[in-house]
Amino acid sequence: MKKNLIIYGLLIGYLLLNTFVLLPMNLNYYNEIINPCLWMMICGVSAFLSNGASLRIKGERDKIQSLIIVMIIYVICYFLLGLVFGFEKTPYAKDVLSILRNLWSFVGIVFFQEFIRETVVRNEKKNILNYLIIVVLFTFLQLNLSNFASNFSDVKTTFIYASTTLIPGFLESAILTYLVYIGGFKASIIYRLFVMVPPFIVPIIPSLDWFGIAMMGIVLPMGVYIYLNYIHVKRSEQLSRKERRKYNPVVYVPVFVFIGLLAGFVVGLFKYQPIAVVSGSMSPTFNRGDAAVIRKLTTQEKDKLKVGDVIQFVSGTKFVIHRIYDISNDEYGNKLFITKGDHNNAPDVGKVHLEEVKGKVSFIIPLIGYPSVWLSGAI
Amino acid sequence: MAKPRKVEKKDTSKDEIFKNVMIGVLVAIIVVMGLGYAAFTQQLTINGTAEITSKWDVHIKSIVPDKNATSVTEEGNVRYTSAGSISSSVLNANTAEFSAVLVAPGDTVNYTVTVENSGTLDAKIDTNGIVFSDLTQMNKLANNTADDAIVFSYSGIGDGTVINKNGGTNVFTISVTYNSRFTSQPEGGQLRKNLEMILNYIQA
Repeated sequence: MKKNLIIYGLLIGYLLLNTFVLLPMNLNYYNEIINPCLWMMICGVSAFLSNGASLRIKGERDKIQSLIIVMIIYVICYFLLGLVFGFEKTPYAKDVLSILRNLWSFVGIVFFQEFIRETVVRNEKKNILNYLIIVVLFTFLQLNLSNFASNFSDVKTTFIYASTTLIPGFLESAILTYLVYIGGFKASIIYRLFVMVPPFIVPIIPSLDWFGIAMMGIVLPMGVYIYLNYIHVKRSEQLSRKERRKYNPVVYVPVFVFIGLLAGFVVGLFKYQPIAVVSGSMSPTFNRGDAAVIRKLTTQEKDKLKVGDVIQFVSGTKFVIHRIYDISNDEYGNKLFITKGDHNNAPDVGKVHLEEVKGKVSFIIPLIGYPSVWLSGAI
Repeated sequence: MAKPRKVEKKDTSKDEIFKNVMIGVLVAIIVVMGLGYAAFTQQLTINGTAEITSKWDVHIKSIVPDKNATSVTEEGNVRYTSAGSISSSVLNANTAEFSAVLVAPGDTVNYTVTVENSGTLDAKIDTNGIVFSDLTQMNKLANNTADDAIVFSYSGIGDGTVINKNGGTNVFTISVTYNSRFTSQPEGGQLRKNLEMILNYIQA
């Protein structure tokens, strides 16, 4: 443990030096020269402090192949999401020299980091506390700590930061540590390359909102763990065929399908989408904290809306769910909806155009929207 | 006495060949997807640059008007009909909104917008990287050619403007003005105007 403590000390020292000294100095060639040199130095010290023990990896080639298959499937699924959610341009420079520079600056250090990870795993293979320290420490090493506090300015920002960065970062660090344990640092490098390289070399990536990013960050490590664990257990001579079948990833397919369908339902992929009700303007029809399931409408369906229908429409930058109180026309003959909340004394001030209508309320699920209401600070 | 367990022998070479074939097929799928992108780029929905990571973190820090929205009826050139007639807020990292109710010709509100780069890469505005939803009257006050009652203008930012990494900022101004050439109350569509301004940053 003494050798690992020295390595941990070096890593914590790097973290503090980086956050409080080097990054604020805004040095030229920090990404290209200084940062890689620091990692090279820590890697050299780790190699010196390695106790030389072997990880005794069984079926390394099989595990690497299986991991490559899973990661390629992830890349395909990830980019196919762009056909659903649209694409956005990556901000990284696209000329060949800049691509190579970015790959060296940000992907090159992966090799040093994973070698260090394997060293600390190898030094204390049977110590669970060691694994916990590795996972937590390497999670923090991937975060940008210079503006860390700004990510906790309010409840919503904190929740989004935890969902998109902290939890996926922790899970990624955990899966990488597991991959090193069962397959050596080659496995963890392969995982990281597949995740990190595409945005630097591909001009577009799927335009996912924070929820989509969070889901990808959680589902990928889970999927990799389930499949690689099965591959690892298959080689175990201590389990019977029946016991090994329990680890078959096919068992988890319904779970992932359910998660995918639920996520799609929440983000509005399907015809129906749930929306949390954050005000009491439609009480007693439905109340703050309920979820209104909205059915998206085509232009023809919007034209058939009548007085009494409860609709969702855009008002400025917000979505509002109110009842149609009256229908009129503007000077060009276009339909206008006058809306009113059931609990309000008077109709809404603005009139709603046909194109501002998003959908019609189909049914209500009581109370299920409270977590969203709480997060939005409405309570 | 412990029950002896069967140990299964498996044909690893067949398994390896199958997996190699699987990898080849999946790589071929990726190549086809890449060809598809090249062929169908015009038909894909491609938005501006985004995605905040630890390396890339360009976000809107603040938007502040130069006048207070209070119940004071006159302040400089701007007269207010009620509290809250001028407002602005940062909605999230990539979006800020502003609004103003202007009463008399010549009334102007200037909003100071600060964009911050907290990532580890220098950034700059892309070529043709400032996109407006309505360009017809933009910046036309300066040469007195604005025809609309409500006119927008901006200054302090342009294509290629650099924002340094690790805390660098771009500060620019966007203004909304009641055109002083209007000597009578405007009508209909001139009473209200919306503007969307999109800034596309890329690696410098």
